[in-house]
Amino acid sequence: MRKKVLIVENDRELLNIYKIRLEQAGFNVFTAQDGLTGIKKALENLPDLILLDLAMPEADGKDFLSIFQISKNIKDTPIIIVSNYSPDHVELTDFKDQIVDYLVKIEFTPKEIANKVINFFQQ
Amino acid sequence: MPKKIKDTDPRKYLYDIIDTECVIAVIIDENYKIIYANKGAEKVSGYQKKELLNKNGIQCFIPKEYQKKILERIKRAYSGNLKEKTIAPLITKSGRLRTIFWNGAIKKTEDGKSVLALYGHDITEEIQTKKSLEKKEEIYRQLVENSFAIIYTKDLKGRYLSVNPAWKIFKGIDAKETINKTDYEIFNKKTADIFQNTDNKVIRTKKMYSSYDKFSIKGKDYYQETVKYPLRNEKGEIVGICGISHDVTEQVKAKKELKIFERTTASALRKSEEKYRTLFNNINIGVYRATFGKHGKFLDVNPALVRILGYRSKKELLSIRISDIYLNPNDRVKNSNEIKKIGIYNDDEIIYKKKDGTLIITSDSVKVVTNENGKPIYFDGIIEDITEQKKIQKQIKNYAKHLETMVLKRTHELEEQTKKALEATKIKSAFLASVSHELRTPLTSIIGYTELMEDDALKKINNKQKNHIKIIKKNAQQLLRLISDILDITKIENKGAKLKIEECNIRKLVTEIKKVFKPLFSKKGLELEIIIDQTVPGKIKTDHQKLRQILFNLISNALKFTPQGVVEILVYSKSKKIIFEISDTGIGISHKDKGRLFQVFQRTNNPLVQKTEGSGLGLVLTKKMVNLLNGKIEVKSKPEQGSTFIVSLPQ
Repeated sequence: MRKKVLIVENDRELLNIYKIRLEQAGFNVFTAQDGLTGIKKALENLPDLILLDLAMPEADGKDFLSIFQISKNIKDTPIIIVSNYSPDHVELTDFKDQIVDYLVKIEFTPKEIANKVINFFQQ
Repeated sequence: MPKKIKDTDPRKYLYDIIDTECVIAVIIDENYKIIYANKGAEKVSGYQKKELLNKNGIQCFIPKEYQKKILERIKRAYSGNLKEKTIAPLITKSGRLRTIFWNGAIKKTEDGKSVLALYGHDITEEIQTKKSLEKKEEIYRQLVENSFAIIYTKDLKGRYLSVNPAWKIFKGIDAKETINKTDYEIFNKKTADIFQNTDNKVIRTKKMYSSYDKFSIKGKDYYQETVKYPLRNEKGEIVGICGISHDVTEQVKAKKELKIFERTTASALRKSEEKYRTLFNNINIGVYRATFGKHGKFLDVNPALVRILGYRSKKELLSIRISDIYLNPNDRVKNSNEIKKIGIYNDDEIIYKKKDGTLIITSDSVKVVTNENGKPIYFDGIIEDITEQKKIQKQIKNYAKHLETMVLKRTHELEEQTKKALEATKIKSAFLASVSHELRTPLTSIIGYTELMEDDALKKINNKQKNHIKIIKKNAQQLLRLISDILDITKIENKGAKLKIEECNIRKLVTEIKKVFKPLFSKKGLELEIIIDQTVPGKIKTDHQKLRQILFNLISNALKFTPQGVVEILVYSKSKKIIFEISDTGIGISHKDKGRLFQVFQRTNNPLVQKTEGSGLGLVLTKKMVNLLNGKIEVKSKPEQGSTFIVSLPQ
């Protein structure tokens, strides 16, 4: 059974790169470009991991997390945050049980970020 | 009358005298009983003739202490010495004593008895005169003896006949050494000449002569006032000189001292007076003495006051009424009364009218002068023209006010400008942040796709194309770093960067850094040495992430700009500060470049630097972060001799 990964990323190109990388690595990839669509896709597909951007139009990453937490079926899904913000500037203590990693975009290339996802499942 | 005397005998006239008061005639018998007494006896005794007769002449009339003496004389007369003279007192009826000079003779009566016939003469008055004379002489003698004046007599040959005790006291010469000697034998010639000269004047003029002489005896100076007059005998002939000298040496000395004192005082006074007069005449402040009263007059004024009040001369000013210089003459009355009442006032501002009618503002001080009874007689005052001063004061005030307004206006402008500048900075930072963020996303995509191509291309593209892709990726990454740095700087400028102060283990941090950099250094053939001093505390309180970034930046720089040699990191603690010294053996920094090292987008003209990749913002950001941690960063360097960056942070 292939592992399911949901990518919630505002930037279409970046989203595409992650998708290509992860599909090449053998994952079943679902995507969403805003928080609301992200929640919808998560509930439909029940992913094994969510890659979540924080700055998005409509509902942003935080909104996503708030709704996500109260949805029984998905609330225990591990999340990797991928953001432009440094973790110092984002208050995420309420969700610390689900967040398994926090990646600052500037510090990693898209390839390295994709590798982080792959590594998560290999552990 | 005795029968023996014939009528022709002229002596018969003498018998009549016995019956007058001119002479006292008494006859007493052998038992001293008075058997005859004449009118003279009646008068001197105060008794009637009949009262006198048959009285015992000795017991009744002679005082007891004299009786014995008288009786002896009478016995002597009886025993052959027929005539006796004696002076004896007599008690009168009223009990007074009279002194009588008696002549007595024993006569034989016809019946063979002896009687004593006495003629007496009352000499009471003469004796009294003599006594008083003697008394006077004694007084004079004492006067002479005790006198402070020197009194002496000389004969015509100039020999001293007598000197009084004062002689020795004042001249220091014993009286014995003086008597019978001349001045030349006693004194030096000069002194003797002076004395002799006055003696001669008295003898020549036969008149009293007074002189004031200065002379010396035994080397000591004397001053004497002398009066000399001629001594005459009973015939009126001049037989000598009497002199009375008064020693005034001490007085003269005192007078001399007084004179010197007076002269000195007078000179001092004169000088002081001159000084004040000069001051009075030359001072630029009006000084005057004035009378009280409704109008008042100036008694004295100095030239300055004449000038201040605009008069032609002192004389003219002295002639006017003081009320004339008042703007309102009634004020003069008020002012005058007030002065009298309070006695003194200082620095009162009063407006006066000059001769030409212009007004001046003055500062006045006045003091009342009183007579010995404390009654005010006039007052002294000074008038200072402060019109110009007032004008200047006003100007200064206006100017100050103007300045104040200007400063306020300018401050306001500056505030506005600052506000605008701050707003502009904020807008700039917000803009930069926004732009950077927007740039970052496409760049990330570029890098992402380049990576995909890189991975894919392993089979499909040639080496040249592969190299091109590598260049695209490298530049995109550099661009991304630049944008990231800009973003960080704008965050700090906007105070958007939050500090996360926590306990930080320095040794652990440095070890971690070493682990990261070691392979990079080895790759370039450089050595990385890290020395942590024992003084460094185990943990310090700081923002771990920021400190990490600071050290990363500086070590990266050292790595970048050191072609060969060693990079050394020294960590130590000093005065409660932790110091990081990052030294390299690299290209170094010129003095000129050092100044702009920490400025935005400043990279040196060194070609090696230009070849090296970097945003040009690394040190700017480092400095900003050090400041954020309340630290300091400085650099020591010389071209080609390496650089040392020193970061000190509070522990």
